[in-house]
Amino acid sequence: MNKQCYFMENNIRNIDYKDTEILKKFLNPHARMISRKKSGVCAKSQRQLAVAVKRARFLGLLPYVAR
Amino acid sequence: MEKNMKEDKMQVYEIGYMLISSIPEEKVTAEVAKLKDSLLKKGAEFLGEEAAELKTLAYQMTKKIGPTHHRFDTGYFGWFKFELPAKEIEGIKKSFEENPHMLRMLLITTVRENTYLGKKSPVLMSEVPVEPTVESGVELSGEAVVVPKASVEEMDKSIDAMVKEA
Repeated sequence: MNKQCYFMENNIRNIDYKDTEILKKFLNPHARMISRKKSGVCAKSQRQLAVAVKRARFLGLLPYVAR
Repeated sequence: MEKNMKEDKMQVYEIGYMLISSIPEEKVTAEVAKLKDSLLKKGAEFLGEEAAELKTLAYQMTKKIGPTHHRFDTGYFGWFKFELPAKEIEGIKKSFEENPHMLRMLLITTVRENTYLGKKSPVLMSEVPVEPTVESGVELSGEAVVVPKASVEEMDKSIDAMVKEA
C-alpha cells in the first residue's frame, strides 16, 4: 500500500527549518535523513525537507551526526 | 535597467540568529533590540519575529573572540521576518555577520505567509489524544447518538440469545 505524504496530508506547503519537532520525525537515530521510499514523503516535500534539515543543522538546532 | 528594477523590488526575508550564551540574560533583549534597530534603519517592514531564548545546541560550536577560540554548548536563538528592498540586504547581512555576539546567522528568502507552525505543529498536537469533547450545554453535532454503556450481565444475555438463535 502506498503511504501518503505527511506534509500534504497535514497541508504543510512550506517546510520551516524552525519546526525541529517535525524535522526530527524524518531523521534516523544517527540523525541522517530517512529516504522517501521509507517515509512516503512526496518528491517536492522531500526536496523542501532536505533544505530545512540542512538549515536547522547549520544553526545548531539539529545535529549533523548522532550516536 | 532590469537589474535596477530587481534591486528596488521588495522581497520577504527571514534572519535566524544564534547569539553567544556568554551574554548576561538581562542584556539579551537589548542586544536583540540593536539588531532590530539596524533593520528598521534600512526601512524593513516586520512581518514576524520570535524573541531570543536560550537553547541547547545540537553540537558544540566555536567562535573566535580576540585571539582565543571559545566553545559554546548553548546559545540564544531568535528570528526576524521582514520585507526589504533587495538592494539593502547585503548591508544587513554584513552587519549581522560582523556582530561580535553573533555565533551563527542564516539569511533566507521566504514567503509572506506564516510558515512556522511552532506549537500548532501536527506532531505536537498528536501527542494530545484527540477526542470529541462536549462542553456544557453545547452539542458537537445534532446527529450524535448516545449509546448507554451495557453491563456485563446484559452483554452475557445478548450473547446467549445470539447462540440460541444460531
